[in-house]
Amino acid sequence: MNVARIFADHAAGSPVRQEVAELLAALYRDGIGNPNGGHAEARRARAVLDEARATVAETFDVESRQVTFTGSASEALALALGSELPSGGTLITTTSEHRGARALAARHESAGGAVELIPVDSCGAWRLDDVAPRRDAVAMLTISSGELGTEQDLLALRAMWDEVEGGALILDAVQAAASRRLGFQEVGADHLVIGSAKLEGPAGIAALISAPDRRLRPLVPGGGQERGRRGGTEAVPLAAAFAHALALASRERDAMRTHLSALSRTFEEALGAPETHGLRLTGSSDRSARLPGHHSYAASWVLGDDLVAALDHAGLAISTGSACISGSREPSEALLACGHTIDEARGGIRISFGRTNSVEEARRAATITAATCARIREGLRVEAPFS
Amino acid sequence: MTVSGLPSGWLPEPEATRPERVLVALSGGVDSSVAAALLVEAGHQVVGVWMRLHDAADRVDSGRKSCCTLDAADDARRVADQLKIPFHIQNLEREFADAVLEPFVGAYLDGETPSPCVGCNTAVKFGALVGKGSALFGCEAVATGHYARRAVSADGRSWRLRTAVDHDKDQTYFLHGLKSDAIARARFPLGGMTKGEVREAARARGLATAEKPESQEICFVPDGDYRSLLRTRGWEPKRGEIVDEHGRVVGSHEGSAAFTVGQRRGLDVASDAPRYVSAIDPRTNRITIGRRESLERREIELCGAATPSGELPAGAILRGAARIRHRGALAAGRLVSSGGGVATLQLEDPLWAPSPGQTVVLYEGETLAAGGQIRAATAIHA
Repeated sequence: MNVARIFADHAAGSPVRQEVAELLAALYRDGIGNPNGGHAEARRARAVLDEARATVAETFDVESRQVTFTGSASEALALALGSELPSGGTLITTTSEHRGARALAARHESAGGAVELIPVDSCGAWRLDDVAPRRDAVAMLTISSGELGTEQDLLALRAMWDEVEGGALILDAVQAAASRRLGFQEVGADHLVIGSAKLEGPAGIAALISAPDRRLRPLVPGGGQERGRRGGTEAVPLAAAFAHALALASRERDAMRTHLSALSRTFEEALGAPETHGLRLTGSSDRSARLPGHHSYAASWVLGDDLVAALDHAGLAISTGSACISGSREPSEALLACGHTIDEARGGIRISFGRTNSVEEARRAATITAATCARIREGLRVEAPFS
Repeated sequence: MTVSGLPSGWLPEPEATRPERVLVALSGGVDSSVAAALLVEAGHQVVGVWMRLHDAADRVDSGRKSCCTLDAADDARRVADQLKIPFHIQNLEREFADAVLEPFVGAYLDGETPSPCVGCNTAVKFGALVGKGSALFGCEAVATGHYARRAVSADGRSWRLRTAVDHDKDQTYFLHGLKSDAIARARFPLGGMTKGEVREAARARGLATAEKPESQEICFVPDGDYRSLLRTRGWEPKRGEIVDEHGRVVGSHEGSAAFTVGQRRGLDVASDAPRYVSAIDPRTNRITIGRRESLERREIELCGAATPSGELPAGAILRGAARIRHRGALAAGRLVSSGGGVATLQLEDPLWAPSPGQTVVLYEGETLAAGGQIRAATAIHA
């Protein structure tokens, strides 16, 4: 019981890294407050906010005025979508989108709008040949799936989108921004959503990067903050901490990829064939097509929540990968879209490593996973389902 | 009458001699909170779980009365935090639907009176949850906040339920379906306490649930109206006859499934003395009513009659005190087995309004020696 726990749920949000936490604390201690005002204190806060915005802009090769800070990635998505998608318009999304995006799509549909789905293959990759979006449709797509770790083909998307003369392209880069360099121009999006929590920054802050010609309609009208795009006093320390985390992650991206790839190799070697533990790999088996450090499996003999609880008990913190109502039996939509059975879609788990994990932890995570699966299957007396 | 003392050959449950790994079913109420606290203080390794049993869990419970809403799950989580024990939500919706919900609906449609809490305790809490607790967390026992105790045979091989110290709160009736091996793995930390003591214990420890009111209703029928649940299962109110004990039509009703034997409320008939439902025939949608005394019975036929150690052989006779509802009157009598779970309960004093489907238990001293279900339409007039 006294063995150190292993945190392997970085795709859900990494703990705030030390340097960032220190910056955050220092800003609060220094009394950084409202950046809107005619006094020196406000100007000081404004300078911090401006610098944070400049850092984010620089990372994605855009101008500062293209960056809008929001309270969450979900809010940034909703802001972009609300600005681009007319109520009767057509929204293009995928069958394997995360819950937040699906909720936005469902709301659009219930308000009378049309939703077209890009199907995915068995790994969760977009099947762009199988979709013919209408001209001027608005697309909302996730570059790298948090649940399956699948990295999508942006070049193919851009080519398809140009061909059909699609409307605004809104891309969710929350997971992708940690692992690949995303120049705004090269990506070719009209809006790019970036979050802080997956970059070892604080939760409660995110950013929407928009092409210069896009106009944003605020979800919350207010006193002209964020150039009138988002009402409410800016969370200056959070923005600064986010920018700092982003800058550190960008600087260390290559080293991070190397580190995470080593963890993934160690984990997979130590785990052996997933089938021997009653697990089926979900997402791509090609590591180059997945987020580094990201592993996902499905078990047909146990609920994902139960496996997560048992692993938690054994000292390994992971998740199902699909943010569902706690304890519900709802199958994962993403796993169903990939062609998994309903039992497998109820039994999804995700193990995602981060910067702070060691190779030894990756090895131990595999051992714990194997032993826990064996113990549960013994307890539930489950035949090896794939052997 | 009351029950007292342990029958010969039965001993009080021994104190635990070593720390155990125990799964505690936290409902979000005060009883299970205190049960968990006592186990933690006794040095056991405790894992808290809240069971998600049905979709009433998705409704927010402003009245804080039921144990099966998300508010209740939050309360359970807060208590687990206070006790510094792990906490998990366990989905047992499928097991609950099979063992409780479907039989509940079926019973009403068949004109019977279901005992949903019995099925839940037997198949869910001390059935599926025990298996999951063992497989997922390596727990060897499951504890709840039930008011009950355990008794063990002198040879240590068999277990029975024993009534709680607090007779008003005793819940052995609802637990009667537990077999000996399930009782061996059950823990009831509150069995020796009164409700007042439990409430005090919660206050003394500052537990978040200390002042929470009791939940009385059936957890999956939050508004207390099971007819609306029946309607979701295709039942529709249909006008039928109400007849008296002589077969004369004395009124009408809106569907026999909305009634239970012994019910007085909702009977739209004019009479000099109170009238009660004495029989329900779902095939003809007809309800028979009678005077209070006409519902008294001295002989009741059971099905599924069994002891915690198994079915009763044909010819076996058990003597004791019988009860046909939770906290209901006790009547001395004997249970005569015909084998195959069929048995006749012969009573010295009559019990009132036994209803087909209802649970019957027989106590030998303070121990619960046998239980079963009242068979459909077999009660014999006194």
